[in-house]
Amino acid sequence: MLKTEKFKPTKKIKKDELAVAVTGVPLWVKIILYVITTGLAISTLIPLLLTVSISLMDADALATHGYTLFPKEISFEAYKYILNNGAKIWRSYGVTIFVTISGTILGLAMMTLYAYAISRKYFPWRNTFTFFIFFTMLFNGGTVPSYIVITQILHLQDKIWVLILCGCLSTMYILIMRTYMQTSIPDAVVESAKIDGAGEFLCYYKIVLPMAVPTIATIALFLAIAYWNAWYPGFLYILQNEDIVPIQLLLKRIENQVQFLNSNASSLSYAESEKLRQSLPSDAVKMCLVVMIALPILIAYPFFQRFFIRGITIGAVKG
Amino acid sequence: MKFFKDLKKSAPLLIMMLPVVVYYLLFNYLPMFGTLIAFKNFNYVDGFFKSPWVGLKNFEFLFQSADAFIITRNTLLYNLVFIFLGMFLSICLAITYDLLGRSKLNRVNQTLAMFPHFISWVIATYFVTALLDIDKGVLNRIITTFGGEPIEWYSESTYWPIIIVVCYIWKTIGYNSIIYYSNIKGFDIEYYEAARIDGASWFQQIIYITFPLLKSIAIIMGILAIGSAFYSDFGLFYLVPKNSGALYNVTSTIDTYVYNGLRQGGNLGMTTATGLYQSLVGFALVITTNAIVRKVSPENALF
Amino acid sequence: MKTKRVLLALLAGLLVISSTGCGNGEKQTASDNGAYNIVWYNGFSPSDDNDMVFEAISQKTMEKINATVTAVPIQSADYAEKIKMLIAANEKMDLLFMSRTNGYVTLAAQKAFLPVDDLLKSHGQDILNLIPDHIFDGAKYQGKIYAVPVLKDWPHEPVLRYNTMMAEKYNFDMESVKSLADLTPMLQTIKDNEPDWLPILNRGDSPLFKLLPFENISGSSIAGFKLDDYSKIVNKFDTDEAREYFKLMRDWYQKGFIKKDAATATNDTEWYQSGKFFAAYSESLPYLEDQINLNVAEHKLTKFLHGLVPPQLGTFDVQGCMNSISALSKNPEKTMEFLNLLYTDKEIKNMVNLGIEGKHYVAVGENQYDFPEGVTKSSETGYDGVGYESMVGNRFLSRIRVGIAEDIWEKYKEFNESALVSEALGFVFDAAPVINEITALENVYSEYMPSLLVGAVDPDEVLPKALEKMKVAGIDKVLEEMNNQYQAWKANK
Repeated sequence: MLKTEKFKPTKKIKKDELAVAVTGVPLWVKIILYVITTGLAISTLIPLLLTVSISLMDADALATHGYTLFPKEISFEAYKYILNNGAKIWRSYGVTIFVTISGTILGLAMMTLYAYAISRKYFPWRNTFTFFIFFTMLFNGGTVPSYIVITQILHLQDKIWVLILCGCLSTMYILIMRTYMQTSIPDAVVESAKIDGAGEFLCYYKIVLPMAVPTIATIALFLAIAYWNAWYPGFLYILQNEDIVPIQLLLKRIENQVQFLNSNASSLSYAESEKLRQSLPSDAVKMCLVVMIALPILIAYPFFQRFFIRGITIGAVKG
Repeated sequence: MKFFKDLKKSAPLLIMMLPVVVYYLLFNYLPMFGTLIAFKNFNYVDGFFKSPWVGLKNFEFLFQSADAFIITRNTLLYNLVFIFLGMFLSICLAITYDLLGRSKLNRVNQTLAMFPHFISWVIATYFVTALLDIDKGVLNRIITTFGGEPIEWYSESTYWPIIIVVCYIWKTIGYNSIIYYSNIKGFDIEYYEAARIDGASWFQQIIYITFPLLKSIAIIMGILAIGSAFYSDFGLFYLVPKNSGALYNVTSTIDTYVYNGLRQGGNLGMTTATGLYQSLVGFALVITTNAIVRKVSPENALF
Repeated sequence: MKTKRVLLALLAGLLVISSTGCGNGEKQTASDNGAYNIVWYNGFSPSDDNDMVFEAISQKTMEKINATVTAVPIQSADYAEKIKMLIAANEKMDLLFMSRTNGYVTLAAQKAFLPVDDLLKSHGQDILNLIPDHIFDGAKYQGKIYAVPVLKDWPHEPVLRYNTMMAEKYNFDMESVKSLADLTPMLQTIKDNEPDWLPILNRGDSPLFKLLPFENISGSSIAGFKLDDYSKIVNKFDTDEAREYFKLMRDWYQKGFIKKDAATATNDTEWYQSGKFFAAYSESLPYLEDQINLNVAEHKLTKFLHGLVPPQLGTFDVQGCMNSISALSKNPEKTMEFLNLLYTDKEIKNMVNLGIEGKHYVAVGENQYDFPEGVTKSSETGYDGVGYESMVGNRFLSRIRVGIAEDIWEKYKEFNESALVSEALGFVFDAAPVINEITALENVYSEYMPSLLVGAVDPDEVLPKALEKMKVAGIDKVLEEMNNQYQAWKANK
């Protein structure tokens, strides 16, 4: 029978030995590669700094100094403007965290099960079921019909479920997992377990899941990011229940409204928007929103990085 | 008979698949009745099913225009470059991150490279403008300090194919490389050990082990991307070039053309028709690609 | 293992929080005593006290028309997209805000609204008496009224706004400016003496061009009427006025009066915030200058230059703010009665605007209001409804904020009288027969016009190209169709 110890031999080996597969890379190559990746990082760091900096500048400083990497005088006007919503903001962060965690777990559970099934070579209808999910990637009915189904048939509007269910599955993620399970998990491992009498679910849970940790971590990361960034389901399906507005939607509303009033498309007459125009915060608020959205994820990323560790595969095969 | 035998054998797998199947039927297949409006003159009183049919009338505007060739060419060419160049660079980056190991700098670099994924094209446009602005832009200031003539970037279409591609790569490469990175992390280290015993250099290990092992995920990603080869990222082609008319011959795609065209009185039917047209072409492309893959290396075919 | 447990605990905790949070999500919408509940969608920011205010309003409406009202506010930026969704999904809806920018014509053509001609006669008599017939003409689609216009200031008056500090400093005689070209020497002065200042704001999405005597037509960016010749619809850019304008802009652009990125700019927010520009396009209303100049820095003080074009009243203007009754409303009669109240009942109209007296606002005399102690903005009161003032009913019943001229509504009424009423008021173009050409033309428009409109390119070279491309795209066919529809409409009038 399967014993859990079999899947933990990694601990006996030093992490560093497993960290790198390709060895013998000359120092000068490493230096060049460091220069390239650091260059890429800097090319993103500058906009990141710029974003933070603009979010801390007030409108007058922006108009006179333009964009600068480090703000000359720090002003929290934009943050104040956004935090004006007070309690709403924290409640919305709570909603988003809840939706992100529960949605990611639910999505992962469903997708790994499906991916496991279509990755089995002995499953006769694996192509049919691959096509079944793939087809929806190309063809969809559009937003309006989806809206009708979700509100008129499933009656999910104004319920937190709609935020969890929308975007909980993705064909692409399922196919990425399927590919990983096919290529990186040797058939021999699963087969030997089956000979030992393990059923499908036990194989999935005890063998394939632990071995697929790197790819599951990737998908978990992608899913969590997607949930974190999602504002559209809330935008569409929240009508009256303001208690379940996720943070992204709250921020998106502020951004939309600022942009809307800045443009002429407003249903206010040009004359009326003339009054508003001088008092509207714009660039600083936009950048402030970016900071509030991106920073939590960038801070959370190292948590996911921990799972991209080699070694678990070897343990299973050798065991 | 074989069917029932298969069914019995696969029952546990089918049960495992059930939640996803139900989800797809409800959330993806059920709303597909909506594509009907591509062929209808939609009105709210009659709804989706009873509105009068109009045949292919909603599709006409896509093909009648003198620019139909340009927008199709732009959409396809950019997507091809994005798929192949984007994938190649993402893979190289993933290999590099793996190669450089667990050093602090490497991990920080990897995290930062993801940042562009989080900013919308609206924000990214600010940064592009900061580079390309006629007076205040960084590039023009560099050019003028070296005694050159400032370039009017937003009216010179020659530079834009490169600008668009660079923007795309910059925004997506860090995020996309994660997929390949996590795959590399799953490769059995014994392959590499065996290769080293055979005397393979580091470069040979990459070429002869890492690349071939990445083949299947790369093919899947490629096929998936080809499915949307007739779609274009609206933000990249509309916001980044600021919808500047002088650049239309290299920045106009199907999506921006439809957006510009339907601002005054378009309807649901025409939008749906556009989407259906894009999907159909994507579908044809995928089926073809998959058929070719199936011939060349059957184990990598999608279905 | 530890992390797992922490995660689970976190999840459980969040579940509890969210389930309590959802508990009060179910809202009481149906009234108990069988009275009809009118559901009213409008494009306005949701406020915390929205339900409280509308419960109070419902008490009043119960007395008067035996119906209750539920308001569902959707913030204006999202309204256009969301309302289409809601209509398509048959969401229960009686009254809804509608305007040109939210797709009135398209939605009316798709039968989303009830034609209200007869209902107005039977249940909305007061509205009919208050609003002149020619205004109703502007809200018609194919001869029927699908939306009731708000009683408010209808016309728009394009003006040039200029900075008074600069005008005084250099002794400009602004009254002598009779056309845009007269501005050239002044802009030159600013350019030469004020390196930090921009002489004039212009944008590719057409601001200064709006100071030319044209009337736009819904459905095309290219076609329009000349204000002095309503006999036919023309290509606005193929006229002498436009040619002259393009030349002038080219001159200004080359002299550096217009910012280099004007063609692609979509807003001038930073300039409005810094205030360092001499002139720009604007639209005027009585007392608007005073309101703009309230509490601004001295260098930002602004004046309007009138007289370049007269105040105009066209289909465009009427369709700015209206309210429609949904085609699927279960009780259009009650809905119309409620709408009628908003045109006649001062108390209800002001509750919609301002909320509950004593809580959200303080009444001052008969016609004025102020915010409660310590509050300076309507968004801080808990009920932010001032936008309703001009979005529904009779604006002139609204209380006026203390500090704003008390005769403002009188002045607005005079303004309504003063406008040049378009001969084409009520003409709505149906784009369906030439939609393919329209799509192509809109693309030609956005390819060439923004840079021509700000002078970024040489009109002698580019304008002929643009006109040629419009020909290829079918401008002639579109103009012919438009003119046919226009003549037919005129004959029926």
